[in-house]
Amino acid sequence: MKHLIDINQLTCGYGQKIVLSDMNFTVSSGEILCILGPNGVGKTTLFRTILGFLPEISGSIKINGQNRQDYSRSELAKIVAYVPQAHIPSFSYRVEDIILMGRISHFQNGSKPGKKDRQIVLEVMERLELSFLKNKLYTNISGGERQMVLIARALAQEPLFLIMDEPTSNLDFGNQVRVLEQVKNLSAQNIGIIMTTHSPDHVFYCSGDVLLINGNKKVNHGHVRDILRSKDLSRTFGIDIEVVDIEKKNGDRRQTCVI
Amino acid sequence: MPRKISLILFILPLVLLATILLSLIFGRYAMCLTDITTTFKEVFLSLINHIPLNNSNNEIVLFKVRLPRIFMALLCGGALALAGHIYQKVFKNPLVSPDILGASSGAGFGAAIGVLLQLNLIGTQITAFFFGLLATGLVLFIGQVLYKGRATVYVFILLGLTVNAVMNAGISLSKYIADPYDDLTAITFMLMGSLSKADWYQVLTLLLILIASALFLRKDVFRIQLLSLSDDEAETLGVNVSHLRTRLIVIATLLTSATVATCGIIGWVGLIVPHMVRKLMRGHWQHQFIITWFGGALFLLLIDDLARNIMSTEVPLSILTAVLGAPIFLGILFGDVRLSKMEENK
Repeated sequence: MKHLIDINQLTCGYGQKIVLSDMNFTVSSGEILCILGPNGVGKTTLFRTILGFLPEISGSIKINGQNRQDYSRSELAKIVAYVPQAHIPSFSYRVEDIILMGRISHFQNGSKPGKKDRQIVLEVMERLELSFLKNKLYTNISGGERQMVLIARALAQEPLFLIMDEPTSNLDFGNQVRVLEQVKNLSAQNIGIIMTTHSPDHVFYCSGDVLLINGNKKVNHGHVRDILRSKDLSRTFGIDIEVVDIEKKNGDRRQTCVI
Repeated sequence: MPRKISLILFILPLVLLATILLSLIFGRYAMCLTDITTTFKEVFLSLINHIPLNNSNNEIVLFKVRLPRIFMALLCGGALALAGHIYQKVFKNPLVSPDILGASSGAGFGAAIGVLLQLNLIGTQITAFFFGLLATGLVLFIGQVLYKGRATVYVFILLGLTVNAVMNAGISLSKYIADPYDDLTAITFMLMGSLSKADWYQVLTLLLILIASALFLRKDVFRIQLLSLSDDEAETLGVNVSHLRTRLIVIATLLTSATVATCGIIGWVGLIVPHMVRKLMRGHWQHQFIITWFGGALFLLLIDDLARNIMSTEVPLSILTAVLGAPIFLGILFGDVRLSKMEENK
């Protein structure tokens, strides 16, 4: 079954101050939509509006045909999961319990995790190869591991969509690629993904749709091939960027940015 | 349930029971173990056979003085620790204590007003209780009105600071206009905290409040942990954060105001006990409310035993909790890797 997030004529901002206007895009099961743009262009504002932390100024956000506002928090948690940037909470928890927090909207008696919840946590950890972290303290693991744990927590929600806020920032090169691999894996498992990133190369790697937001708030939406061209990228970031086609040793073709 | 938690739940009650027994024995009026058992037996028999109590010294010391006082220590210590634990989680900050939103200073001011109005003990306790609720209610209300339910923890902390300042000014004013030979002493002693006025009526009141809070908290032992995340995160996981936060603040304030109203302001318990309990539990959350309650009960009982026994006159509790609490707290602060990590990240 195809599920759909449908953003129609959305204008978002704080109070009366408009940050982005007339946005139109859809994300359905198994698709990856990357949002790319310079700092301060309104990516976070857009996310916060989609997640319901900011009221939309006009336009609509429909999830499977129903307005976002008509979902309760706990209903929404079963459909859309949010992966924030990893930071250290003020209290320490075991990694297993952090992931267990993703289950709270599914708890049978509403207050305590059951056998099934624990089972799903173990499965998710296995799927992301995190089982070795099970009994570690979340405060004591590395930044890359923490980001993976947050993805695991989102998966424990058994969502149809993932919204990821710069999942690769603050990670070393290896961990960035590992996270991106997981993102592609998840889309192959029919989860729809919206993610922000600062790197055009990550968008090429995901090879899905992209939303390129210019400094002057002009939005380009389409497949990465049609949107991320040298001219557009250069204008968006204000530097000379050349997109080149390269062939890897194994014959795969890939695009990348050269500065 | 993790093995560690089972172990804690097994050992802590045993230690508490032993401490209760020692607290019955030690005191100005010397009693040995056999005195205690025979007195218990006598009272038990006369209750069963409907014979009037013989009002021996042992009986009075045990049933009118020591037992209610021990119960009060358990209930107050537990309530303060529980309130501290809740406030720390709600404000995402391990250094928060139950008086952050004005519950203690409000209740203190209420008690001072009660003394000034020459109310009896029960009247004073009632005014203290309601002023405690009023102070925190004011913080919540202003937060709601000004920020339409979107107030962050920082807003609450700053509002708490403001209300605290006003309530403390009220306390100072009460002291200033109080009759220095009578009322002033009463207010001063009230504010330093003491269990010496403990009686069964107070025990019952506190017990009822604690049971009511426990009923409300029953379903929150896991949910409260999600408040440690950012508000946005907790919301997307399916928690109604502002609703949960308000409910928890109300319960914690109820607990704090009730203890201040009966035993005066006892500092530090609500700050260090939840801290020590977390150290003990090391990342686990199961049964955290119960373990925190046991920790607070044990801590205040030990403090009160010291207060009764180390000097020829009783030492006010807040003095002892500060003298013992400060070094413990400093120890935690220096030993806490996480806090120093937080510093590094800034």
